[in-house]
Amino acid sequence: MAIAKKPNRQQPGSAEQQASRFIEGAGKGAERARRAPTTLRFDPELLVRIDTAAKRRGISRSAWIQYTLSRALDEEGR
Amino acid sequence: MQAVVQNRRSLCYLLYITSPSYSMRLNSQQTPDTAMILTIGNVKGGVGKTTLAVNFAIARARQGRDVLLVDGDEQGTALTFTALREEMTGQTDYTAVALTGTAVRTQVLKLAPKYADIIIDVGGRDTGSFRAALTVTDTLLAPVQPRTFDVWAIDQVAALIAEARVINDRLQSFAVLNAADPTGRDNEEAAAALREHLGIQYLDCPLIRRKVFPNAAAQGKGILEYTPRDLKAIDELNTLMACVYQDDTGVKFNGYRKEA
Repeated sequence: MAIAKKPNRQQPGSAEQQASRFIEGAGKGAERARRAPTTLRFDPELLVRIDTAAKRRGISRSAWIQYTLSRALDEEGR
Repeated sequence: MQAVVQNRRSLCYLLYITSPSYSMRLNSQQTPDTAMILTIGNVKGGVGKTTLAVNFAIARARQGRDVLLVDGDEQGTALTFTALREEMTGQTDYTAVALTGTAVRTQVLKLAPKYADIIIDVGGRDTGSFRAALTVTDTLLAPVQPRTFDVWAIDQVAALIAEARVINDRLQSFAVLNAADPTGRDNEEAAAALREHLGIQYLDCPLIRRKVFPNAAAQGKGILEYTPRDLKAIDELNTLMACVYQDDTGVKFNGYRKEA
């Protein structure tokens, strides 16, 4: 037999190709929106309380304020 | 306290055997001569993945099992720990390799018949290595610290699991609290948030943040080998392993067992 059979190539959508596409998708999530900087004035005592609360959760002051505000807004249904 | 710990272990097991993933596992065609593949991963860094992975590897090796530890993290901490372990104790008891990206899938598939246990330490963010591990692993264990950002990150893990299940239908996934607080309400609040996730099962076997973990690591040891023994930490680790591996061997063979 002088004519070789055509090698059976992987069809698109095979398990291996599906796995490859999934693996290659790493780190390609939606880019985070740019954050807008702002300045807020706080009473120093309130700032100390905020920093204490943030430290307890192991997050930064900015992250704690954002987290708390987003929760308050969720509760208000906005 | 003993009763509480025992009950928690029984509850974990009960939860597991009544879960769909258990019947899926019973029905799977996996042969017993293929390794049980466990991935310890999270898209969030600093949650204690490597600490758990090396302690799991040491514990399983001490049961006489042939263990392969795959370091899929770019930092290579598991591999560095293994080098330290060899230097300080003269042996490793398990085999460690570093793999990245697609190789995590291809090499693990090749190596699976040669080992009884494969433990993959991977993640820190959404990497190709993490995704590749999800396509071949039997179980994902995601350690989560009881902190707001850590709990938030589990959304992304759950989304990746859902996507990976299309390719790997055996994949079962657990979240567990790691480096949990000894007191306070944060553990319970984090647990409540984790229980809400449908794609990932919360295991109520928390590991409390204890100094024995870094102390043992600094000597190239797992907490089961470190003296003075921290019996509470050992009991927590055994309980978690019994839940993850759905057996009691972790309790029987790790060299420590409380009298019933």
